[in-house]
Amino acid sequence: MEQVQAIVRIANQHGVPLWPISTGRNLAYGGAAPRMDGTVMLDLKRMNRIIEVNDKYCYALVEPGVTYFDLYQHIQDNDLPLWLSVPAPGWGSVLGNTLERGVGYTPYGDHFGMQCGMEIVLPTGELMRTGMGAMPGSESWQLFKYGFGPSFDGMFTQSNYGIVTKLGTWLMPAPEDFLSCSVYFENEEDLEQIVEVMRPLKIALAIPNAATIYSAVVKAASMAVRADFFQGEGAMPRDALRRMISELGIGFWNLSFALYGPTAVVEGQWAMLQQAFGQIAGARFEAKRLGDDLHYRDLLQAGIPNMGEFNTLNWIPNSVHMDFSPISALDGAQAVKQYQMISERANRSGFDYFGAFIAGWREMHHIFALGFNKYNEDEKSRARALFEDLISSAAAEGYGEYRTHLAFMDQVAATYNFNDNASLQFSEKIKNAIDPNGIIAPGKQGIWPARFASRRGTL
Amino acid sequence: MPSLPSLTAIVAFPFLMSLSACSDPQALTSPAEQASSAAGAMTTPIHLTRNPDAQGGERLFAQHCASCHAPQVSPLYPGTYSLARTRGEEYAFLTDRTDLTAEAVIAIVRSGKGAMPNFGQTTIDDEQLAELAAFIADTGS
Repeated sequence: MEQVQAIVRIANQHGVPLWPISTGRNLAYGGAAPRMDGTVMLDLKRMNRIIEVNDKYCYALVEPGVTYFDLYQHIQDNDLPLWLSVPAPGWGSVLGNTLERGVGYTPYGDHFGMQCGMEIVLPTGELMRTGMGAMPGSESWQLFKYGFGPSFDGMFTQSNYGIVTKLGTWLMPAPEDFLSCSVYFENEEDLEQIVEVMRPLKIALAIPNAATIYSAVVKAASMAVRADFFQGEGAMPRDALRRMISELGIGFWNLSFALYGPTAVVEGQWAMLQQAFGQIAGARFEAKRLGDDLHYRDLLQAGIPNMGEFNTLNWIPNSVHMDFSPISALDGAQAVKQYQMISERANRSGFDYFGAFIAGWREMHHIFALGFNKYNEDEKSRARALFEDLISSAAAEGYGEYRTHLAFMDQVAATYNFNDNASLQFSEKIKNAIDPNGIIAPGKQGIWPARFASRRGTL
Repeated sequence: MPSLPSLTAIVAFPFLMSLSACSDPQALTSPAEQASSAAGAMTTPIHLTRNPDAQGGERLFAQHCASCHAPQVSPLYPGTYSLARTRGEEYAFLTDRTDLTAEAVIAIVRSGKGAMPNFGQTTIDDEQLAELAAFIADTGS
C-alpha cells in the first residue's frame, strides 16, 4: 500500500497517468486495457493478501489481487461455515468485481450492496478509509457501512477517483440446505409471463437470489457448440433453433434460481414456486442439491467458483465477446420490448441473440453477449456497428447500460444526459478537484480530467 | 393470462399449497422426488481439489490451468471441452499429451490461443512458467 502511494506521488510529479487493475480479467468490458494510450498499467495482482475472514460476523477483508478461487480455497482450508457469492469468472478479483458493480448468484449477489469498508489511495497519494474505518481503533469497519457524515464508497466504484487497496465484503452463513432450481419454458412468447410471475416473488424475496432467464442459445452454448446444429453464415435460422431446443431438452427460455435455508423451508418454497410458474403452460421443473450432478450454473448459485460460463465462448471458433448490458424494469412488457429490440437488430447484423435477464430486486440486468470471431474483420466491424446502434436505440427508449466496454464508455456516458449532462459535469468537477493532474484512469466511465478532455470520443 | 396466487398467499402459506397445479407431466410431484440427495454432501469439483503435497509445476497447473483444463471432458472445463471438440478427446487432457513441448506451452500461455487469454508476468513469472511448461511437457511423455 505504501508502494502504491509512492507510485501515485511519482506519477503526479511526472504527469504520467495510471490505469489500476486488480486481476485484469474484466473480460467483455475491456479486460485490463486502459482507455487512453500513454497510460501506465498499475497491476495490483500481487497485492493478494486475505487480511481477515471473520466467521462470527461473516465478512472478509481482502486486497485487490485476491480472486474468488483464492477466497473460496481459504474458506475451505479453514473449514469456515461461510458461502461466497461469485460471478461467472471464478478467476476474477473480489475487489475488482465489486468496484465494477458486478453480480453473483447467491442472495449476496449484489456485490456492491454487500461491500462494507474500503481503504483508498487518493489521486494525490493520501490514504483514506471509509465508514467506520475513518475512526482509529474501531472494530466495526466491516460491520457498519456509513460511519459519520457523507458516505463515499459509491464514489470509488466505476470511477477514477482513487485506487482501492482494501475492501470489506459480507459473506453468507452456510445454509442448512440448498436447492438449485431450473424451470424450462417452451415458447418465445412466455417471456412476458415469466417476468410477471417473477416480479412479486423477487420483490418479496420469495426468490432470494439473482434469478436468471437464459435464452435458448446461451443455455445451449453451455452444453454444445453451434456447429452441432447449424453450420451456415449469419444468425441461426428458426428451424435450427427449434431442433436445437428439442435435441438438448432445454427451453426457449430457461429460468434458474436457488433456495437456501432449513430443508422444510426450501422444500416449501420450491413447492410454492412450482405452483406459481406452473401456470405457464408447458413449464418443466428440475431441482438439485449439492450431492447431485451440478451444472456450472448450479455451482455459481452455491457460491462455488468455476469457469464453466466461459464454455459459451466455444459456441463459435475464436470467439470473443462484448456485453451490451441495459437495465430493464422487472416487467414483462419491458423485457419483451428489450428482447425484440436487441434480437431483431442482432439477427439483422448476422448474430445470434445471446441474451439473459438477471433479476435484481426490482430491475433486471439484461446481458446480450455479442460474440464474434476475433480473426474475422467483417464480423468485428459488424459487431462494432451493432453495438453503437444498440446503445443509441436503447437510449431513445430510455434504457441505459449498467456497465460497458471501454470502447463505448463515452457513448454510454453521453446517454445519461439529463439537464445538459449535469451528472457527468458533476463527476468531472469532482475529478478535477481531487485529481488535478488527471493521473488516475483518465476516461474511465467517460469521466475525463480537464488535462485530457480533448481525448473524449477518440480511441 | 392465468391469475396468479396472491403475494400474501405465496409468502405466508407455502406449505399449504397443493402441488397438483404443476401442469406438465414432467413436472415434479414433490421436490423431494427430484432433489433427493442429502443436504450438504457434495463431491468437490476436480478443479477445486488440491494435492496438498503438490510442488512446482503440478502446483502451478492446479493454480492457473485446472479451472479450464481439468482432466474431464465437460462444458464445466472450457479448455478441455474445446480441445475435445476441435481436435479430439486424445488431445483434450494437457497432462496426457505427448505432442506438447515446453516451448509451445510457454508461447500459448504468453500469447493466448482461441478463446484463452494470455497470462502475463504478474500472474506467472518466467521462472514459474518454465516449471509449469516442463511439468506439462514431461507428464505426457
